[in-house]
Amino acid sequence: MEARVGAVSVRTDLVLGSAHPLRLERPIVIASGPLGFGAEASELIDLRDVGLFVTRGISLAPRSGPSLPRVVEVPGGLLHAISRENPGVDEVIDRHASAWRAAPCAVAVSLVATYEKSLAALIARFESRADQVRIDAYELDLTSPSDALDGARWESTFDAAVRLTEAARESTELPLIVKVSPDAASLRALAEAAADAGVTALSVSGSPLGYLPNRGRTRGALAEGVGELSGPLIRPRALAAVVSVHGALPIIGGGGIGSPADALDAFAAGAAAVSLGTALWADPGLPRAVLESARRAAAARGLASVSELAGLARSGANERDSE
Amino acid sequence: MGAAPVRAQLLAVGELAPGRSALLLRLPELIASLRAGHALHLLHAEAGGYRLRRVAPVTQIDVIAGSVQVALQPRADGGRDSLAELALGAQLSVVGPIGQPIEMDPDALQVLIVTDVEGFSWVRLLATSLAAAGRTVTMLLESNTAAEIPPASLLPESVEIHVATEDGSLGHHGSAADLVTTYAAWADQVVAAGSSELLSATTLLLRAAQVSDRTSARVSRPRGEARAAQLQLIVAHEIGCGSGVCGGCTYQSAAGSVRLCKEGPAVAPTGSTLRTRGAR
Repeated sequence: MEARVGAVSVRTDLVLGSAHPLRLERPIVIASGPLGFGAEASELIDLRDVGLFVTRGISLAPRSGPSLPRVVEVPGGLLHAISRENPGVDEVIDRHASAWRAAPCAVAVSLVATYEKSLAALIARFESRADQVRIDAYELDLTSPSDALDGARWESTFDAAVRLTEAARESTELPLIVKVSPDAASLRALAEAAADAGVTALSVSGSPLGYLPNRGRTRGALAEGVGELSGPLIRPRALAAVVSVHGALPIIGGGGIGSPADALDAFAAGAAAVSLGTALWADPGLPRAVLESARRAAAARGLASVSELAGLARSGANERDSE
Repeated sequence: MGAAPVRAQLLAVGELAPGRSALLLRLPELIASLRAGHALHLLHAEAGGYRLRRVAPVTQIDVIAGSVQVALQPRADGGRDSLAELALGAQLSVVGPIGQPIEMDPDALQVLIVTDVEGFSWVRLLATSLAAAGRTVTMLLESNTAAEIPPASLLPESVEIHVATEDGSLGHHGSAADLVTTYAAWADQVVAAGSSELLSATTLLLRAAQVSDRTSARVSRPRGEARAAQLQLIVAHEIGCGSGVCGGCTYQSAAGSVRLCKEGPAVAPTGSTLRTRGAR
């Protein structure tokens, strides 16, 4: 897709990965979680400004969520614990597949698996209903809890994260995005292992863990106790994670992006596409603003494509290093 | 998101109780649609660094003045909401109404409200509306200490208030739930709002007193049926999408999942264990 910025023509489309490529019309990703499974998303934002919509996490069987409170405000962000509550793959497909088919952007379903076996079964379930379901990619959520790890996140153990990634890759030929947070163990090595396994892109948009006591300091502010952090307070950590994996494979950068300037920072750090999350609640127009800002930034640098913004700050650092 | 935001002008900043801020907003566009139980989502671009849509229960409506009072909920970290620091005249982005009105049984002439300082902002408008409609309202109001109690002037004089304080500094020494059984036989309908401990205790005591759970807000008692009060809980939520998709305010009621921002805040009690704040 091409758009003119003044007299300059700037492309916004990009292709992530090579072995199992995913083509996006725009470098904007809606993160898994804040906008639901799909049916309601087009009422909330204009998906024509988006390259990829990622559903809330979906598991093979229904998963219940924790007690309230599930979301509390903390300085500079949010602490939340939804625990991948979802009605299970079949009900999600029944209720949302038509919205996926109609979406004017690519759609990825976010996979939640507590065991390797259930992951393979989950992907098989989606693919057995391929006649009803349009899925452009899978997102494997390594920030989801693993029963094999006593409830810890898959990403907390390098070997377990790689095993699950390889199991996902072996289960489908569709593009595969792997989602991690800045908390992931051995993140650079994990990114390289994912690239070796044939993963399409790494989404560094997962929420790091957080905790806050309640006002009386008698228990956690969240009923669940430990939760996940979103918002501006995680942005520098998310950017550091993007920098640490830059070059291993295409990166979707997210975490605390609340403005077009934040998105340009993520591109500069090495992200090929940016992931938007809870900021959309307050600013449904953010995808368009990011897209227009990225076009202008590319045009100002004389770049033919927004995708060329990826890693500019890194290449600048390399130039300084070599001086 | 969802409903289009409208602009509201900040007319005044006050307190419902010490440390519990309230905003008076000029909001003519939405005022006709607001009822007891509704909340608004508030947003101000310059209030704090993170633009969140905060859930603010509607506590007072002045149709003639075109103004609405909403309560700001205390932050989990104890900090003051930055919306309370705004200058008068500031323009806020408002989405609403959030949630459903609290539907009362038309035959319920005597209503018992059980609440604490946290829950008060969710039921103040209800008490006022019921009193204005000629119903008899008794409120059992719980607080840690006398100094934290909302002033009685926030309610119509016809509302009978019984205070319970944890430290015994005013009224009953203990929980408001301790007083519930006294009024169980009197009340046609019971509405409880507040901490999970208060909601749990109220539910257990009323069940022991054979008060039925109000599983559907729309069901009224058949004529001729023996009098049995019905209990509804008001469950607060703080932040989220306001559109029912993020899962941040999902409450497991006896009748299934309730999205508090869409179907709430009034819910039927769950089974034996309430799944609310810290009740796991």
